[in-house]
Amino acid sequence: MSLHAIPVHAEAAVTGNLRPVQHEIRQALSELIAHGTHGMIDLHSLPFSPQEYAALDDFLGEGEIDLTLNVLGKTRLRESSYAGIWRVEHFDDNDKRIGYFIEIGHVPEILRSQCDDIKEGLATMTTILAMEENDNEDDAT
Amino acid sequence: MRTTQHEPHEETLGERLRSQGISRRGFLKFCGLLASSMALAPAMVPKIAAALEQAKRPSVIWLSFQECTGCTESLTRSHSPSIEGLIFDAISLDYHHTLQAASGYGAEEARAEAMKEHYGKYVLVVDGSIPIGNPGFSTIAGISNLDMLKEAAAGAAAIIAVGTCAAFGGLPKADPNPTGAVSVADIIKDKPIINVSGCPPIPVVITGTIAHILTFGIPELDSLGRPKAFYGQNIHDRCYRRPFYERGLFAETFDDEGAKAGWCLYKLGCKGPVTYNACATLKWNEGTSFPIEAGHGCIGCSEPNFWDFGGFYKALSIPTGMTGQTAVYAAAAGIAVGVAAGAMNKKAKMDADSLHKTVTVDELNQESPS
Amino acid sequence: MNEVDFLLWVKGPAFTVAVVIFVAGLVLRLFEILSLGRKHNFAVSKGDPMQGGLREMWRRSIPADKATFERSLFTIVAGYVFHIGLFVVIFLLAAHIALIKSVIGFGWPNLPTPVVDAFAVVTMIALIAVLVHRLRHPVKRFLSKPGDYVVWAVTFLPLLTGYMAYHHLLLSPQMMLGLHILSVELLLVLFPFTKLMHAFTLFLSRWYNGATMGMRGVKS
Repeated sequence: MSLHAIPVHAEAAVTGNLRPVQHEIRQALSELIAHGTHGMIDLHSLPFSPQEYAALDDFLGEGEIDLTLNVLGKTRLRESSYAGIWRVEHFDDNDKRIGYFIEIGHVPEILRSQCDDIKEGLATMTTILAMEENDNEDDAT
Repeated sequence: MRTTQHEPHEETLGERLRSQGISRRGFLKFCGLLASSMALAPAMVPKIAAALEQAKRPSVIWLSFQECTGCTESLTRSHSPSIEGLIFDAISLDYHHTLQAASGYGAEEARAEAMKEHYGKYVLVVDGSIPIGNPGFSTIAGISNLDMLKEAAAGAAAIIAVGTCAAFGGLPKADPNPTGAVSVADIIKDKPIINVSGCPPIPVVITGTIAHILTFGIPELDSLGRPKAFYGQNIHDRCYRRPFYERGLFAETFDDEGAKAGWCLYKLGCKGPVTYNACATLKWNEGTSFPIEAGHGCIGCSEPNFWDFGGFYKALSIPTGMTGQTAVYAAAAGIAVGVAAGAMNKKAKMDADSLHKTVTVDELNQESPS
Repeated sequence: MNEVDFLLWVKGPAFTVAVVIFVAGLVLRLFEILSLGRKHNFAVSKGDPMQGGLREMWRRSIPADKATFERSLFTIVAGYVFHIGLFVVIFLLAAHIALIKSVIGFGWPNLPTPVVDAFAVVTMIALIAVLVHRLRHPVKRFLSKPGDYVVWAVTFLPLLTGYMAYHHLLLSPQMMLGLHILSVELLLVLFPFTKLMHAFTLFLSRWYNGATMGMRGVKS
C-alpha cells in the first residue's frame, strides 16, 4: 500500500514559500546574466506543500533536456522552459528522492566532468596507451 | 574494525570515499545533500567538498549507558547508501558495544587501545544517561558508567551526547528518577559537549553533526548545547499546519472532522511551540513525514524533561498540577476564612453598637450650659 | 534551573499555589462583604429596592448622561476599549480556553489567533494611554496611590509577555511563555487583595447604590 492510499486528505496547505522562491529564481537568473554567478536553491530544507511543489513545477514548465545520471543512486536533471534554470533531483538506491535543488546556470554543476576526474582519466589513459605500446613493441620484437 | 599497522600517509576522507568507488560526481552529490542536511546554503557545497576532501578519518568511541539502543537503531536503520551511511563509513568506529563484532575482553581492549592511540584526538559519542544514585545501577565490564565516562572523556577532543538521555537525562531522569540519572554535561565540565537531543534524534542530525565536526569543527550551539543548524528552528514555526493555528482551527479529538482535515493539533497536546528540532524539515523514515504529518502532536522529545511535561495529550497551556478539585478546596477554605472574618466583623459592629451610648435631652442640656 | 525547568515550575506548583490563593482570597473577600449584611428594614418603602438596584447596574454601564460622557470622554472610551480587549484576549484565545476548560471542565469556541493578537495590541495601547492620562491629570495623580500603579503593572505585564511569547520576541518562546504564566500568577495572587477586586464588587456596589436610591421611604 502506498502512502497516498491512506484515506487522509489534508486541506490545501499554503506555507507562503512559493512566491519568495519564484522571486529568488528570477533574481538568480538575472545574476547569471549580469555576473555569470551560478545559483542554487535547496527546496528540501524549505517547508513546501505538495500543492506548492506542483505549482512551482507548472511555473517552471518543461524544457528540452531530461537526463538521468547514475551517481550513488539516480540523479535527474531537467531543464525548465526557461533556459538556464534546472531542476536537480537526487534519489537514493530505492528511488526515494533525498534532495531537490533548483540550479541556475549554463549547466548543472554535477553534469560537468570534474577536473580531478579528468586528470585521473588522463593518467589512466596514458598508462594504458603506454602499456599497449609496450605490448606492441614486445610483439614486434 | 581498524587497521593497526602504521601508514606513512594518513588516509583522508576524500581518498577513503574514492577507494570505495565513489566518483567525484558522487562526492559532489553527497556534499550537496550534506549541505542540505546541515541546513547550510548550497553556496557552501564547494567549501564542504574541500574540507571533507582533506579531513582525516577520526577515531570514534561510542559509549552506551542507561539507554534503549533506540538512538543506535535510528542511525543504523537509515537505508544505504544514504548520506548517513556514507558518513558512518567515513569514521573509524573503534568501540560500540552493540555494533562491534568483538565482545568481552576483546571489546574493552579495543576501547583501551583506541583511547591510548588517539589520546586527545578521538570523538566520544555517548548515548544514555549516567546513574549517580548507585554506581551498580549500570555497569559495562564491571566498570560503572560514571567511571567509564570520566576515563573516556579525559582524552576526547569533543563529546557528542546523542539522544535526550545523554543530553538532558531523558526517560531515566523522569520523575522520581530512581537511579539518580544525570546528563553528560552534568558530569563533564572541561570538554566541548554537543547535545544531539531527540528520542531518538533524526539519523541525519547525528551524522550531520559528525560531518560538521569533520569539516568545520564544533558547530554553533544554542543555549542547551545543541547545534543551531538543526535545533535552531521551532517545530511550530516550521509546521505545515501552522496556517490552521493562525486561523484558530483546531482538531478537538483524534477522529473529528478537524483531525481529518489536517487542522492544528495544539489542543490535542502538541508541544511544537516549545520544541526545537528539525523534524518539520528533515522529516523521518527517509524523508517520508514527521509525527504531526501522521496526525499526532509533537511530544517535545528533544527538550529537557519532556517526560514530565504534564502529559503528551494535554494542551501546552494546561497547568500540570492543577485540577478543578483543588479550586473547589480553595473555595471551601475561602468560605471558611470568610465566615470567620465575617463573624469577627459582625462582632466588631455589635461591640461598636453596644459601646454606643444613648444621650438623653437632659445630658445634652448639661453639656452645653448656656 | 534551565528554561524548561522554569516553565514546568510555573505551569505546575506555582500555578496551583496562585489559583488556590486567588480562589480562596476571592471567596474570602466576597464572603466578608456579604456576611456583614444589612439591617432589616421594617418600614414599607414606596419604591422597589430591587428594581432600583438593577436599574442602577444597567444605567452606570452605559454613558447615559451626556454631560458626564463629554467631560470624561477619554476615561470612558479608553476604559471600555481596554476592558473589552482584556475580555477578548483572556477568554477567546484558544490556548486560554484550553486552560480554563482543564480547570472548570468546559470550554467555548475561540477566535482566530491574529484577531486576538490585534485586540492585545489595542488593549496595550489603551492601557498605556490611561497610565499617561493618570500621570498627567493633576486630580487623578493626586488620588493615585502606589497600589494603583501596581494594579496597572500586573494587568499590563501578562499582555506584554503573552504578545512577546506569541511573536517570539527577545527571549526564547519557552522562557517568554514561562514569564507570561508567571506574570498571570502574580496577577492572580494580587487580585483579591487589590482594587482588581472591582471585577467582582463592581455590580454589587452599583446594586447597593441603586437600591438605596430606589427605595424612596424612611428606614426603620
